[in-house]
Amino acid sequence: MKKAVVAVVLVTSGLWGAFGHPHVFMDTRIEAAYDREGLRGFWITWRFDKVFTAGILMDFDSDKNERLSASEVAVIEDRAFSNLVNYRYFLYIRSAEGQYRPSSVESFTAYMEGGRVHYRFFVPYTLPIGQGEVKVNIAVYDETFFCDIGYLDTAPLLLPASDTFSGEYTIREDRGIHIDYTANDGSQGSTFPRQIALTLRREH
Amino acid sequence: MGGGTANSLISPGRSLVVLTAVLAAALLFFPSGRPAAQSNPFYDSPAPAPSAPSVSVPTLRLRALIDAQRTIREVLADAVDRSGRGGRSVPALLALAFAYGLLHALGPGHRKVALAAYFLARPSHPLQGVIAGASVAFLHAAAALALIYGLYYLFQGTVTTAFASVSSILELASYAAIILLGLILLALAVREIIKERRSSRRSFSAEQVEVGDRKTLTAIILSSGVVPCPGTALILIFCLSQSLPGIGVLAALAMSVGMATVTVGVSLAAIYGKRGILSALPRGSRLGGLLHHGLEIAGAVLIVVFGLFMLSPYLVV
Repeated sequence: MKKAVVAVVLVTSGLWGAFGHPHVFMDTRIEAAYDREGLRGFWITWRFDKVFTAGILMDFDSDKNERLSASEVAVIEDRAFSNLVNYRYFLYIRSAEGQYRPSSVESFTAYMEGGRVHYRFFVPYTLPIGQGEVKVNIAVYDETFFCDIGYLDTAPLLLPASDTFSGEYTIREDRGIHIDYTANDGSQGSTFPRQIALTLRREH
Repeated sequence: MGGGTANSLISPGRSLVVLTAVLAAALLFFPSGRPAAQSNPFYDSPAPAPSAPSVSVPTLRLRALIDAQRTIREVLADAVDRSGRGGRSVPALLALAFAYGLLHALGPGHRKVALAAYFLARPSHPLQGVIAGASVAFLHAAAALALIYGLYYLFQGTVTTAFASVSSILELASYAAIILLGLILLALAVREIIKERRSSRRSFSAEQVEVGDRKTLTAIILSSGVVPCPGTALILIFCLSQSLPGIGVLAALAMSVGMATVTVGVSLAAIYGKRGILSALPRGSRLGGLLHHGLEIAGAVLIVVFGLFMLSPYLVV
């Protein structure tokens, strides 16, 4: 029977979706933005890997100077960013008011820094901060797992200097959420998103 | 029961257990929940984007290997960059490309499901497993090479955008061809059963299984390998961006050898696994025959279901 078990394992080994199969690697920085009432949204910056960067430059850096002009950025937004609305920009924002997935973003730009292309855009998200703490969780992941999205090692979250508001954050794996993805051949895998748990409070 | 010898490796009753185990294991790891084609999300695609996370059986999560892919691709990009300036030897670059191909193919994708299901459905020689596994990997990389270089030299610019569009169309055609192949394999399996019923041969013996089926083997290779490998494509784009087309060809070849290591392994595992089950059958038993045909039908059905599952996102209005 042991031999039969080994045989079954061998036969089905090709059917197992063992682990991830990302093609784009990117790292995120999130910057909170305040207004007088509290949180008004987040600036999101994505730094892409060198290989993805090469593709963007090849297609959209029309003057081949490895810098992105305003007109080139406009084309990138149209051709290599706007489709992300179908993926809600990979963003999952949760607070006591529930989960929010943006259907539009503002002020998109793209630029080169350190030999890598960066995308930056603003996600409006208003959340009044009154007395007591306000907690917001932000996760950034691609559930199809075409992109593996991490956080920048240095300052993955920035809180603007403010006399009115203060806060702190931790980054932790959310074991309550599976990213269950299906690859091109139907095999599947799961991973767990690392999310930023942000706590904000009003000082005055 | 059957004529099984005293040292038969498994009894007919256990044959059913084995068949059930194969089907259960296949179902356990087969896609469940919402299908979502894995296409480049930055570009338009005929496949609709996923709408919400699904809940399915969680499989192994090996974060370290994903990180290894990330690191090795960065190192590979650096190596390509330096090779253009004579700073790193080509053999080292090829070794990195091989390792990246190996790691890349270990993850989901690269038609491992289709290959495993095919070799479950058809009696095959191990050499056929080597040929099919290697051919799918090389074709997968060659399709990326032809498409990327073709787009680059014929149209100049918008290579990645055009690649994403053409890939989606080829994937759609691939899934349709896989469904068709699965149906043909199913028909062949059923025909064999009918032929046996009409003849006097009502029992199974492993020696009676015919091996060798070039037409369906070619069909599985072509239908699976025609889809260009996105991982290879990105490396090629990087090499072209550094004006190193020759290095790109060599890197793609090394990557495909790495990927072939995995696809050949999966094919051989399926062939030897199936042989292990069949050789363990009591000779001449009817239940042995049931298991033999059951595996063939299960493999064919698996191919059809797989094709339908992967095609379904393209059919959703």
